[in-house]
Amino acid sequence: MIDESMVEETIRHYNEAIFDTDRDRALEMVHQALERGMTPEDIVFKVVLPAMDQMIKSISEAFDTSLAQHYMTAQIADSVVAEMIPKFKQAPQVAGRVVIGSAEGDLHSLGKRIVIGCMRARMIEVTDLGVNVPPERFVDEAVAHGASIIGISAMMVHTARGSNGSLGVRRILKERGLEDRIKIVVGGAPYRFDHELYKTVQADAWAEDGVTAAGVIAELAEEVRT
Amino acid sequence: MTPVGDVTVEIVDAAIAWRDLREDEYTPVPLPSEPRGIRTSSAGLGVAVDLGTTEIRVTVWDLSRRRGLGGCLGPNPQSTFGADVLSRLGTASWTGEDAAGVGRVARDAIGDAIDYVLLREHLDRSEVCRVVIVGNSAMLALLTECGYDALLEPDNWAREIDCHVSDARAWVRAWGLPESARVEVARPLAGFVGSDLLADVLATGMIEGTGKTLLLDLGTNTEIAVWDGTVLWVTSTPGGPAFESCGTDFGVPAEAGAVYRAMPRDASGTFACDVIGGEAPRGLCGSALVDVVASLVRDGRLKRTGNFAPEVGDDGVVVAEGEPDLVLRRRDVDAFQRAKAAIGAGTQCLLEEAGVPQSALERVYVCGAFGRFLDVANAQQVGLLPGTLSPDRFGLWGNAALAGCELLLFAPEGGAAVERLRTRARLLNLAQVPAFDDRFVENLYLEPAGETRITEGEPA
Repeated sequence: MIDESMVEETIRHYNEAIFDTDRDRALEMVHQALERGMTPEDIVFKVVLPAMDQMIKSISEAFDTSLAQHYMTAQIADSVVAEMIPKFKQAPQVAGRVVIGSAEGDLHSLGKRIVIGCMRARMIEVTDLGVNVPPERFVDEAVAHGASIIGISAMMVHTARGSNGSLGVRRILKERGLEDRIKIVVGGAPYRFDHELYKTVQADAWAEDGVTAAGVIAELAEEVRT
Repeated sequence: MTPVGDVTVEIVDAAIAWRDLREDEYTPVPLPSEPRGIRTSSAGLGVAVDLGTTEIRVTVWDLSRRRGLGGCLGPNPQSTFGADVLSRLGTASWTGEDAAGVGRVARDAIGDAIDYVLLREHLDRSEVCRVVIVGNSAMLALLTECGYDALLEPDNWAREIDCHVSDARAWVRAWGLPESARVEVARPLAGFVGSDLLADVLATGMIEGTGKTLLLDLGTNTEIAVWDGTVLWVTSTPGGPAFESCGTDFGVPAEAGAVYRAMPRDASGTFACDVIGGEAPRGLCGSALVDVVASLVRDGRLKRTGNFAPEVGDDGVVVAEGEPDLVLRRRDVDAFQRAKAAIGAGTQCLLEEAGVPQSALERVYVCGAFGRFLDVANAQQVGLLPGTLSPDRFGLWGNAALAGCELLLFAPEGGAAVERLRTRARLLNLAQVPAFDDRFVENLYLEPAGETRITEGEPA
């Protein structure tokens, strides 16, 4: 039986490693904890996911995290969870299904990769549609994968506002009567400059950065499900 | 700042504040003493224009005596349509009328700048017979009102962008110049790599030898060139405006009132600041930002991740006291990291594509408005410039694009010199380089950029 102090110690060391973007040390902490008898379930639910929530909290309270930290948080969480899940006593329930891609005309993929890493760590099933995705494909793939969320990344003003981005996806969802079943979440630089822009492009929600986006998507997926 | 409803904005004084260009603000290049080829413009006045995203620079020349008569510099008023090139292209692509509006602002500004120099130097406008304009692809597309929508399509990012002057007569008429005056817009190379980079290459002479060289034109849109002895590899990378004017809380262009050098004073952690024009500091330009970040990393107050050490606290570091104090905050460091990572990663990808290791570079040319103030060792320490080279291999050039444009003004019409460059150039579209994202993340750290990773069998 493991005691709470060990869990706390693991959390502290793991968080420090995440804050320093030290992937090797983060993985070492996890492996040590496993050896000392901590369950894979506890590692995911008591260490990795709370560390991600802690990062979201630091982002919202003060600007004291960096893009490098967001990226490594996602990558480390993704790889730890991928390693732990096969060791779970019972396969975890899928927390939601999402298709994600960069808007048509947009070739940026970094933000999207951060979101994907964080979502996988939260056991959300993600299909990555890549970059430069036309609106029809977003909807077709969402239907094919039974996804309740379409995530659209746009790092440029014209791809965020354009008629082939979120606006185009909304139009097709409306035409096909899918609006109750599928929600749109947007993210990317233009949305950070104008916090109301997601409404202008008729999305259901937006997020300031990749780590937060995964949380927003998880909440929305939960809402659609219930 | 976000308006919550309809806002009426009144612009009280729309006049552009032009000022004289000082000689040390660009690198004058010795003009070829003997005219080469057929010259058609042996007499009269010639005008060289560098149409930058943030600033416009103009010089007027006596073509027969081959002598500079005066020059000026002012902000590009198109910034009202957005600080970066994509916002402006986006505005122009709404309707044809919007494109005409954005284009007219740039043309009017060029006319205004020419006026400023002609009046100030008491020159006869009827003698102006040639105007040559260089710039990045987006600026030239907006100026000529063609090709701006093509640039918004990723499919065109490796293709040539059509930027021809459809009605040069209307332009010279609007500028009050003789109808016989010819206007030449030096064609961009392809995608976002404009003729300003070609002008840089001409001015620095980076491809004149067989030695391998690297050129960086630092700005809102940074352009990079690598000469491997046979091929001129080029690319562009959007670093964002952190080095130019905004993106950081106290960022200003390299103009009067800008801190351009900031050195740690002593163990107290305060900075000794050099200010352009010796005035009270208004803000930091890119070179001082590099100095401050590098010295904070050195003394341990800033970590390689971009986080402040715990003893610094949440309020950041005071760089210069004043009304208000100039304070480096966490978000400024983040904007800096993103900008320098785009440049560092772009440089690495281009060197890798060209098969040129950093250590093989004989010379590195650093161009751009704040480039002339850059402390090379500091820039290397934070990963903005290649880290493995001795600082004496770097040359600081300031605004080389204008100098290159002046060479074009004295070259035979049709730009044979530029055409030769074009045939040797090969463009790398970073959007198509799968490794770019990973390189970008690696380059976010505030540490020297490591050696180029050349895989065996890559084209050299």
